[in-house]
Amino acid sequence: MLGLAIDTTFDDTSVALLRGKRDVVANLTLSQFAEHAEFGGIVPERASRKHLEAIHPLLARALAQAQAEWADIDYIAVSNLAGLLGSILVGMTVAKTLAYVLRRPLIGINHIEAHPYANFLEHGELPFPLLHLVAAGGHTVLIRQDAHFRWEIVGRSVDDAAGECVDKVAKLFGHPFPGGPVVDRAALEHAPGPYEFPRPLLHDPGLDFSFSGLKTALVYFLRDHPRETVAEG
Amino acid sequence: MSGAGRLDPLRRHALAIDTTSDYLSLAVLREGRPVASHYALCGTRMARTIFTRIDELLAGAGLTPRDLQWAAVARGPGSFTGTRIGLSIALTLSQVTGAPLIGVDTLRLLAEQTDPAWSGRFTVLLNCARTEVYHAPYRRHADGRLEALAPVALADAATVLPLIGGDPVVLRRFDPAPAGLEALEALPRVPLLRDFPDGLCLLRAALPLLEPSGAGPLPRVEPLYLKSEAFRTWRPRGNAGTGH
Ligand SMILES: [Zn+2]
Repeated sequence: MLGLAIDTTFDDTSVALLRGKRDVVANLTLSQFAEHAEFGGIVPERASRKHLEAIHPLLARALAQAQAEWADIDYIAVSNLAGLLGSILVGMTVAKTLAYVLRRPLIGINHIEAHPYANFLEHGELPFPLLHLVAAGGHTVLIRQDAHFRWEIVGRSVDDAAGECVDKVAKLFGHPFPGGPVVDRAALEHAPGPYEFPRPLLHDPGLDFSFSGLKTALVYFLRDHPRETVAEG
Repeated sequence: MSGAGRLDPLRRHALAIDTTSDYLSLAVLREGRPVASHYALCGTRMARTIFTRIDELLAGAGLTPRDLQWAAVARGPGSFTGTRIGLSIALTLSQVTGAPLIGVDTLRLLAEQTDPAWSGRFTVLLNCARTEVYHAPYRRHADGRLEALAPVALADAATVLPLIGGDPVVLRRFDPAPAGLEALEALPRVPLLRDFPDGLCLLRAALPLLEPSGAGPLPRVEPLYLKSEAFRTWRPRGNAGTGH
């Protein structure tokens, strides 16, 4: 069983081929970050254009890498939700055309629901129920999963997403968008200091998160502390 | 991908796709003869309905997508999103089946509407938004051949008039009432043979490009946007945003 997956939900053009349940025989991603850096954010129209430029060469390379032919593909999966509409449209239209021409089933997948499945690829079947924490870009959600395709969101950020908070903090420190990776690296390289930052909703009965207070606390922290005492990223 | 030189276009099965405007335009060539055509206002339903329409047309002609030996696609200028729908389908179809793909400028399609019995120089004008006008000059030769005299360009309605000179025009406008186009409306028109730049115009425009021009494969069809991206950026907003 060979599956072809296409994801163009945001600024990455991604194509993968999966044999069986866990054998990733091709996994290619073209990131557009550099293409958008000059604008300090993602330009949706540019993202859509780049997806159309990238998707067909990526498909060809993925097939070559997997030493597979079009006729070998048994099903096609595509991210159909959560992202930039114009970008999703490119991946969806390519996937629909493949399903139509190859006469194979097409499966639409919510990108956020796909995130937890990285764990199934990594560890194989896992016993249900599972609790997934998805903290990616604009999303911070806690998902309870009782079976395949049976989900319930049990917690989510009530304000900023974690990734958004980290990007904003990086911006406070003068790093260009997206600054998240810079903060990530700093966190791994530097020992924690004796600083106290708020962790809201920690003692609330619910499972929701909140990150905007942390961002505000950082604003005041930077005001009260000279730059040189703060760990450099 | 097979080289264009091995094709005998007049005997082949082909599909034409134009999604560059609010009108979905399709046509099917079977054994070199146009056997089916679809031209209808579609608007935002384009992405949802196009596969049903293509399948209906092909099935009606007794063809499957695998039978197609070449395809033609309108590559813009026009709606950015619409142009990408057509190109996403056509490029994928071509990649999977190996059928050569021909890209045709939308202004060339409008030029194809003109009566081949009329000859002379003319300008095609296409108004998509506000008072912006895409324009390109063509010549219809006495033998019926259509020649593009310059690439498609973009100008404001006010500045395009001097470029036209005294040429008669083919004018298409999508915005119903933008100010500043009155002068263009008053220009002399080239007689049209077809009411719409439909799929048959697209097939006719594509044929000369498909004919043997050397042994090599055809170049990859690129969209023709002619306008840069809007400089509006997207930033995450809470959980309403996207993945990474
Ligand atoms: Zn993601």
